[in-house]
Amino acid sequence: MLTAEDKKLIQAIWEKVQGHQEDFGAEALQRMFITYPQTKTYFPHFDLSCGSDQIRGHGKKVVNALGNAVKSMDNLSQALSELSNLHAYNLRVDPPCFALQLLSQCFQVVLAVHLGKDYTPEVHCAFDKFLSAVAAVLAEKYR
Amino acid sequence: MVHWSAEEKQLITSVWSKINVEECGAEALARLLIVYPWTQRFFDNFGNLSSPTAIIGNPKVRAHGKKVLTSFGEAVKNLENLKATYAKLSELHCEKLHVDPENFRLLGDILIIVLAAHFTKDFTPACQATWQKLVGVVAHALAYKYH
Repeated sequence: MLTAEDKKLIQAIWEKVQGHQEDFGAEALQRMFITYPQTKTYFPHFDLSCGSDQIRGHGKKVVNALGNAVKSMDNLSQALSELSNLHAYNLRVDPPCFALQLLSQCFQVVLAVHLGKDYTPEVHCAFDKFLSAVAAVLAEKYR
Repeated sequence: MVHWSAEEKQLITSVWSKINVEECGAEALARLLIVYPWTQRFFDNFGNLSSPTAIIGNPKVRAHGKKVLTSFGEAVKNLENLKATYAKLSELHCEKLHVDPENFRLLGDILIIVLAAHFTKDFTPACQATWQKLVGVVAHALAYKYH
């Protein structure tokens, strides 16, 4: 699915995310909660106010996990195996892939906002494919 | 009937007033064809769509992108009456063009990313939320006459 060229583009863009994991992650989550309020249903235990410590902490966690996926693009299934179990058996984000798609859209918006013109069509394509692949792996064990 | 708050209307019209419809439309359509290549099936007569560079430079893509986004302007002018505004286009997309309405959602999401890249920090979360709502209702209106 991901070509060699895609992987190069993804790794290059990820360089720009370094150092901003918490900011980008928090912003993506914030945008997701505002744009798609139904996603808040997965976080009844969180303080969802803007800039909350929980959102920042969780945003950082999510982006670090994505960073791990970037390092393991040749073997996403294995690299994300634990998270796949978590999403399938504990979190049960429903329906599979759809809610993750909403986060993918918001994360891409964050990248576009911060990278502007550098979020070229080619990068956009590669990253969209990458996030779809990650979402597919996370939904692998649903049934 | 969709309800739009005063703030939402303001966010829609202020963003719209700053968009270069030709550039933005061309880019959105090009990205749709690049990021979701199966959408190229609707554009067999557009000539060279063999690479991102070819797609971006393709004059038919540019022209059609402009047409599509210009039509989007009708939504901005008729927020209270989108179903009526898009009734004819909905029938066209169903009966003549045979476009799966899922593609309207894809184009909507792409447009959001184009706006984000263009406006960067000014494309605030409130802005994104309003515009995602707008592209969603436009997609819904375009799918409304499907049978």
